Amino acid sequence: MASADAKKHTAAFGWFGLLAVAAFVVMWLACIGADTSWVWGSDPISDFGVSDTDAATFFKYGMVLTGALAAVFGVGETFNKSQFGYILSGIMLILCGICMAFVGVFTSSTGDLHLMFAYMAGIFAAAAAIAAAAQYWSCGKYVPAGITIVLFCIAAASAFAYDFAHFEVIAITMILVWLAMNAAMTIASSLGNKQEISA
Amino acid sequence: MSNIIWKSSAKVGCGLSIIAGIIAMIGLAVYFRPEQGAVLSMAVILLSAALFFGLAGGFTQTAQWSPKVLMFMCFVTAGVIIGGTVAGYYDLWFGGIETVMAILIAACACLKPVRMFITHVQEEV
Repeated sequence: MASADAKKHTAAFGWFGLLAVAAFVVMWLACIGADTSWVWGSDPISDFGVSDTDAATFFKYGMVLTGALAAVFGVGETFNKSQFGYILSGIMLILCGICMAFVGVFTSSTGDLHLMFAYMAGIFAAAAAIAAAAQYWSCGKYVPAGITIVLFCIAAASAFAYDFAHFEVIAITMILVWLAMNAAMTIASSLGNKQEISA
Repeated sequence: MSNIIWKSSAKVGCGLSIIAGIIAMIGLAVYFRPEQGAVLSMAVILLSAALFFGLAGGFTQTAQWSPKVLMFMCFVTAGVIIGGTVAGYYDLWFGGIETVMAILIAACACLKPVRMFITHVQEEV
């Protein structure tokens, strides 16, 4: 019963994914505006959490909000899709969202705890993208899978070429692009199904 | 008529791949520096050339790859090019030109006539 109700609101769950991307971008811009000492490519994003300015507050609540929205999107993916790849991607997104929320709560001043949740958030996000890309390919959706491959290659190349702070911003940008694409596809596919039913 | 369309589409993909590979080899010569630190950049440019020439072989009658693998390799090549440009291994102009070529090649690989051409000939063999 719960699964059937969830399927009716597939598009709504998709919008949570887009909102998660928007929330993170807004949080990031607000933090840059509040803490002008932050340098792109030189300072990690987590430095906002220990800033002496309002950026610390923006970062904390922004990460919790983004994590919650991403987790809700992951719940939608888990219950609305029937293929294993999409379900696994949804589960990974739920875990990533939870870890992102904890990254906001436990800032870099807590040391290893913050690092653990930050690394886990990145690993779960990458796993979600890989699982979704594999399922896209299996379902014949080659272009979205190809875009995910390209995004992954960009992140991998920047990991080898740059230090962690620079790699972090590039990798997060790639994840945001993938999440937005995934959410848009979820919304579009649910609207397509509804048009078929009404016809 | 359909066979002509299939062959023309595959020829376009093959031609673009060869041209992109030649551009990569030219880039290897242009951006060559006799320094130990430049070895990685040279290696990445050489990798892109090898990938493009491999893609050219994938658009032929006796292709080594199935259409799905060809599409996958196109996307991997595009990822290597774009990732190398973002990472600073390629010069911006060189990376931009190769990125455009890689996207066009990937678009050719996704065309149904090309997939039909490769599959049709493989079925005959």
